[in-house]
Amino acid sequence: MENQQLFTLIQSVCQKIAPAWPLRNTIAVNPFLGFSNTRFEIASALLHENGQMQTTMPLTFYLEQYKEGNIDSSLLQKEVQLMLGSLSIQDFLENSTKYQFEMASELKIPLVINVINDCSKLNWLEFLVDSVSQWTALFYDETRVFWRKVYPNKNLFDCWKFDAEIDLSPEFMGAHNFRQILKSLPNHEDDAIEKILQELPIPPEFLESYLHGLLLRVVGWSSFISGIDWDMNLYSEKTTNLKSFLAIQLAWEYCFFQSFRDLKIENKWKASWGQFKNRKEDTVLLYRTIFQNAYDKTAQYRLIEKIEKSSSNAPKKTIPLAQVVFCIDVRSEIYRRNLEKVNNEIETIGFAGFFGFPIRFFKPAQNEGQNLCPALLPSSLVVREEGKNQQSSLQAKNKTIVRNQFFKSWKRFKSGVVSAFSFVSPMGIYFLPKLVFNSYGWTRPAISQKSKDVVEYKKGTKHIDISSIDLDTQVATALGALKTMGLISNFAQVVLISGHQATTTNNPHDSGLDCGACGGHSGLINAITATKILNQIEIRERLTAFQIFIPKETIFLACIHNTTTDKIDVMESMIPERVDRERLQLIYTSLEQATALSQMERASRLGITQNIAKSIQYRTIDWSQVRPEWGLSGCSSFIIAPRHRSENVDLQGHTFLHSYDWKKDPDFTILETIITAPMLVTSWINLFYYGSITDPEKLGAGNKTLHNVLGGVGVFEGAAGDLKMGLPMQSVHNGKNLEHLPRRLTVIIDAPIYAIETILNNHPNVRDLITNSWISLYAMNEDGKIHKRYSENKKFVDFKKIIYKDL
Amino acid sequence: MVCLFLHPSKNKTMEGLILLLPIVIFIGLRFLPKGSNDSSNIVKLSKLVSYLSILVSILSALLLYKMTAFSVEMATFKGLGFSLRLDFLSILMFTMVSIIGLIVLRFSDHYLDGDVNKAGFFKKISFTLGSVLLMVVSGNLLSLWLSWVFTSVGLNELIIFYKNREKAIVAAKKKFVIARVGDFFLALSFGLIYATFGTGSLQDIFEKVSNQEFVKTPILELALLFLAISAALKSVQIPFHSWLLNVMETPTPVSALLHAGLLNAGPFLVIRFAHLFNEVTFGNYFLVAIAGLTAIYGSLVHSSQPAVKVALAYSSIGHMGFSLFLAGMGAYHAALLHFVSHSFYKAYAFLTTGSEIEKQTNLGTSYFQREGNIYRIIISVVLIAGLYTVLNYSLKDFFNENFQMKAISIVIFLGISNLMINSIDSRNTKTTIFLLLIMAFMVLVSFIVFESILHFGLRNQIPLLNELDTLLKGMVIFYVGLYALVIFLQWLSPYIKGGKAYHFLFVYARNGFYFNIFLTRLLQNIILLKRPKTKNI
Repeated sequence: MENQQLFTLIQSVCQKIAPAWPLRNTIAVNPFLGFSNTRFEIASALLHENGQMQTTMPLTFYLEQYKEGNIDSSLLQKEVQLMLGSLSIQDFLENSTKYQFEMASELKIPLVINVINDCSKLNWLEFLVDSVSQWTALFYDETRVFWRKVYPNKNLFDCWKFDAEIDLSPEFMGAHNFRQILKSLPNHEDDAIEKILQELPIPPEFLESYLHGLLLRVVGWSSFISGIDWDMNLYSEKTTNLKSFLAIQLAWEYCFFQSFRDLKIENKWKASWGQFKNRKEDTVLLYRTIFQNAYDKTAQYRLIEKIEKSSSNAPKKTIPLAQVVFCIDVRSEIYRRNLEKVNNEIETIGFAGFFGFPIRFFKPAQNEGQNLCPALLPSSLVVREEGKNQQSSLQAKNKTIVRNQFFKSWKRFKSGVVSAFSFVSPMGIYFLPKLVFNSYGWTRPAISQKSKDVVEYKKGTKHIDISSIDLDTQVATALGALKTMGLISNFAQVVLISGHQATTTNNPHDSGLDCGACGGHSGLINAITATKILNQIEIRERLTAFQIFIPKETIFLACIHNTTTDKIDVMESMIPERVDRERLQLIYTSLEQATALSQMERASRLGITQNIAKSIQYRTIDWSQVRPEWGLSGCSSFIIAPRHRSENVDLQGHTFLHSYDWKKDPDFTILETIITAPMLVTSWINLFYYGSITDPEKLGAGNKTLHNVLGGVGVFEGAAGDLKMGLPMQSVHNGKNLEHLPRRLTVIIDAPIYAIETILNNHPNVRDLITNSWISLYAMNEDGKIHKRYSENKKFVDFKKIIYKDL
Repeated sequence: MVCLFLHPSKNKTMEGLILLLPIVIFIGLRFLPKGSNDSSNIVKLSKLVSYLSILVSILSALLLYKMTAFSVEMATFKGLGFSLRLDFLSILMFTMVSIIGLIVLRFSDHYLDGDVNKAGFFKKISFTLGSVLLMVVSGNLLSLWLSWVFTSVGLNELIIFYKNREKAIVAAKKKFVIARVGDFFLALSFGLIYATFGTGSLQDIFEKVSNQEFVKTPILELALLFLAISAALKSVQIPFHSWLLNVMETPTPVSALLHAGLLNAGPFLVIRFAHLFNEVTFGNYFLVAIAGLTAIYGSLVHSSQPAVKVALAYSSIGHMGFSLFLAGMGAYHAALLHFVSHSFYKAYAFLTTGSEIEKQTNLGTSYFQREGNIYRIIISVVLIAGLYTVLNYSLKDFFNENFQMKAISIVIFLGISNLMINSIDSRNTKTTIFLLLIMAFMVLVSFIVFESILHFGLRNQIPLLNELDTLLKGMVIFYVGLYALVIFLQWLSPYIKGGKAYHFLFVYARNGFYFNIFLTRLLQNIILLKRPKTKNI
């Protein structure tokens, strides 16, 4: 194969691996991102063959759902017809029952390691995964290991080769001459790849699958490294760490292949290729896909029915008591509904939780800022945390420096070689009170910086300094934000902008519960920045040039929605004197009532029956709590419409809500933004949860009680093994039942179909997601009816609805 | 020179029964019939029992205050059967295990919410707790041996709590082999001790030893060597440690209990038989040789591990080594202090591994950096040397009492020198350096205070520090020298450029010097570890 061709192929294989982010800032990401332009069922088959990855549930699950009526038989019939032609539904169900305890075929792309594994007494596969994993973990470790890493350069492959050439473990396991064979490989990764692929007898037609299989073997690390490349490409130069990682995998294969030559593995390997070539289509997999399609459709039609029944056409005209802007997050839906219930004069708005302000945030004494914006775009606005005045800023900075230095030096003493003995003997006893205090929830094992921030910003001891953003940028960002959230007229006196965050203790997956739109961080800083900019008279004056007239008495107030407790904290220190206190009091009361109602609603899902407020509060400080809240479990649909379309529907916290009124968007640029950004993000989140259920081991994080945290990176399940991405089982399963059901995202847009079609035609990468069944898209017409579905033919078509009696 | 004041009162049946109550219920819980899936009752009951056992330990401590030490015998024959021994050691252990038991049970309650086998988990963990409690108060060889076996049986059940996890099963098998070998050696040892003294009652044995009413024979040497081997096996001394690394295939509270409550059994056993170890030589040689090496091994490998639980496991290996090292040289109170302190520290460390990410975020990711300024290094060294001299002079009794105390205090000072150098030779601000120096002083004060307390507590119950023979002394000096060398290298770490030797050491250290691979292959070749049919990638 030509050189050029080979490296294009490798590039395309690397693009099949979706990025993943470290647990410091978890961002839910579509694990099938590399397959957006592939049909769902084909991607399923490929992922299954190349990595034994499951993208649908076992047949037992679907049969049960069918029995419970969650899969409509006529819809199932239709799907069966579509995929299998003549087979009757009875036969289909019968076959499914027959197959239900059979695994999908185990035939997979033959890797050298699997061939060796099959003819050896030792578990080579486990050895390989553990070795790769341990090395990579150490390479990316940022905090735990004090040993200075001395590497020739920064290239992943070179560093690995440098270590592997002296590591004795493969030889001690029984792979003869491993190091010698490795040394015979060229030093540069490209040369090494070429040499290896020349010498390994891989059928050229399967080369792509083979390389994909190598990356999927350690999919956790592949994704993590892909995430590093993603961030690097977004912010600085283009890197190809994943290619280097692939070279490492190839080198392992090559060395094993050469080392075990005498076992006649070459012939066995060739035989496996032959077997693989003659594989048949996997019936079980196909059946599962059929069920999944029908399962999704049933849920979609029921949702549509529910919305149509109660959607109202009449938007309110009067100026509301207050407007509250929430994140589109599904957890906001519960709170918004309850808030509107307790006070129908409060208007709520749904918008991406970074409020259109892509921030890079610097805490005092911190050189590396946090990117508080979605992973799709780079942060651009620099803001800093400051104290009340210059002196207190300086004090805070010094305090942070001293604290960090102190604990770092202390930690080196505590876990240093030999000095650990002098630490434990005298100081160990002091952990007894710590054990007791943490056990009863009087203290936490680590400070919660987020919670501290809320208190300090609320009191006003801290401020956000936005002075490094120039005025033009401020105006432009403010304009974009207001337009996209549809808040360009009819301003209430008080506009609350509510970011969100969770509070949990001793939970490595904490950041996964925070705002994904803020890059897996709290939304507080974004909310404060937004209000600070929007409250400036200068900005408001300049906005009038764009026909946005914000009344003088209108104030924007930042607040934070704690999703674990459903409490809302308003940043009171930023309230100017002139605000009508009575009005404010009224708003506070409504917020409190909404909190109580939301807590009550969520309590049953959390299994709390009494002392609701107290029990929920305790979850935030309980160090042994593995289910502090349900996060975005249940997310399955996204409604892009004015709030009145969904106002009277109980969507049970399963729906993302983005406010959008196409009548205020003559050229549909706002819709374009929503479809290409928030809609993608909701699909990422949805498929992140979806994958964590269909394949809890490879796409989910496994069992939380076994988690073993790695320095700065993620978790292992148990002592070693691949890096775990995705969600732990406890985040989607309550022990008896799934809390998140495996449903692909349903999007409903209230806009003219020609507008949507044009936008999709301009963005084929988004369109692919819909035509390949990763997302289902429906359009709502002016009467609030939903009659059109976006089809594979890249057009909206009418679809026939089945009327359900038992809603 | 042995000094012993025991006031045995053999008719304390009532007190014995009270003490037994939590133990019996804990163990009994395991044998409750498999009821409904509702675990709330068993959870409540086990928590209640752990409160009870804390109460009992307070009562026993009060009792102990009045009468130094006593034993309770019930249904015994020739010193075997059922008897409890209450002294400073057993009550300290009983209290410690009860507290850790309570914390672990409380933690497990929410941690295992929703697990279908939650009730089973609580039964098993209660059984294990009960066994450990029984072990620490056992008053004769038979019940000590039985409870010793029970603890590992209970642990084995907990390791395979997730029955579908292959790695858990492999770990359990490794542990099983090593535990049975240990049980066997302990049985041999106890048999020989019984033969020597003609009684199984610890009270009688110790009395005989202190009154020198026995004949020193090579058999006793052998018995104590076996005892030492058994302790080394239980407390993960190299090369028998690698199973510990595989015991992360089970929920975190099990690790907490294991590292805080079960690994200690080794040093506990040695301290329990301190009277006998004082009479022999080879058992002590064995302990010092193997434990001194394990200490440095665990500590070194610990520092190269990126996964927090694995690092903690290596740290435990090192600390158990250090504790046995101290016990082997006859510094029993120091060994006791070390492993009791370690228990609380390690239980906390395991239960809070989930906060690791939060801690890292709070501190930022940048590495700590040493300045490498030779003057600052010299200042720190002078400072620590000066402190050592002053304290040695002013607290002569404490530091210079004997050879062992000298050795221990040198190790402690070496460690503190690390803290001093890290704080002074770095970019730390003056405030930070000041705070760290205060902390260094705090560490020293704590060391002196706690060491003295335990010394006082144990004064009547274990033999005083003995004069060591030359070989043992030489071994201790060798290891302390080795520790000093390692500390010295850390002092100079900014100047170590990372040559070939460094690179080799780092790669080998992160692999734990390959012990685990050897054990895996060894066991794979002999028996047991039949590889399950290859599951897919």
